[in-house]
Amino acid sequence: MSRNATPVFCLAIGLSLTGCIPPVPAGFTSPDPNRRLNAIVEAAQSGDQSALRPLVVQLESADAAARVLAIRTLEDLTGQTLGYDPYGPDRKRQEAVESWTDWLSEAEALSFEGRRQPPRSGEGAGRQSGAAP
Amino acid sequence: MTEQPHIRLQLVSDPIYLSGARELVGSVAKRLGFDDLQCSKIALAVDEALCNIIRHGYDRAQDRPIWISLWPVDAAPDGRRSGLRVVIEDEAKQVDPAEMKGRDLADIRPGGLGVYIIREVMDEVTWERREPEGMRLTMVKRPVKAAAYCSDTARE
Repeated sequence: MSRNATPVFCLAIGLSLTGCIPPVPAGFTSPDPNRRLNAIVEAAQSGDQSALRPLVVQLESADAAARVLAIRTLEDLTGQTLGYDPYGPDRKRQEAVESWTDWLSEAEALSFEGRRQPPRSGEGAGRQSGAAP
Repeated sequence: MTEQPHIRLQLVSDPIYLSGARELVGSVAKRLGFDDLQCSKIALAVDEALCNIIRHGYDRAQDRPIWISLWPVDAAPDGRRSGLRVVIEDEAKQVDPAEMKGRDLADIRPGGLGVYIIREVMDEVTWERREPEGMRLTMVKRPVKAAAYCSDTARE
């Protein structure tokens, strides 16, 4: 397992329990910036793991408020920032977003691998995902 | 503050001019020796301040005046400077400066984030009522490495 193994491991369990790649929660794709901010806040309050990918998308928002709320929520949900600074220059922010995208893909792949394995007697899906590398 | 600003820009409260104002301030900060991250923060603070004025002070009216003034601060006899002061003034409705606190992000929710962001990215931030009307926001940013911030850099 590569960098940030523990958060990826925990996320993989969470994704396995919630199903495959989850649908984007309502609000994140709204053209209304206030609705997008509210969607971030709802994800923070609910601890909704299915919001991780749309939260990463918000890290690229032109709206600094959305970036600040998104990284704060991601930090709450995963315990890390991967070096993302919502106030930093575009290039630096983009590098950190790529780290977030890689991390998320790794976590989702780990979750998928866990689900492909047939359940062993007496074991639940979450435990199989946890056993994945 | 009696000294004339080194740069004074007047614009109307039309969002179309936000990017130009932001880029001007960011470019000046860069020429004064601030690094990319600090320039980005200074420009962001100006952007947030202008947005707040347009949205809340002028209720999105697009024909009201805003002034942006810039000073290098604390110039030493050898020409070295230790910061940039940005003053933004308007004729918008006045508010109690004590109310311009932003809020703690521990309670995550939208609203008041502009003030929060400005206080996060600048070193000194002060709102005051302006006579006879409007508000004045004074922001100071100091470089992380003062040694890198000198007049020689600006002349390169």
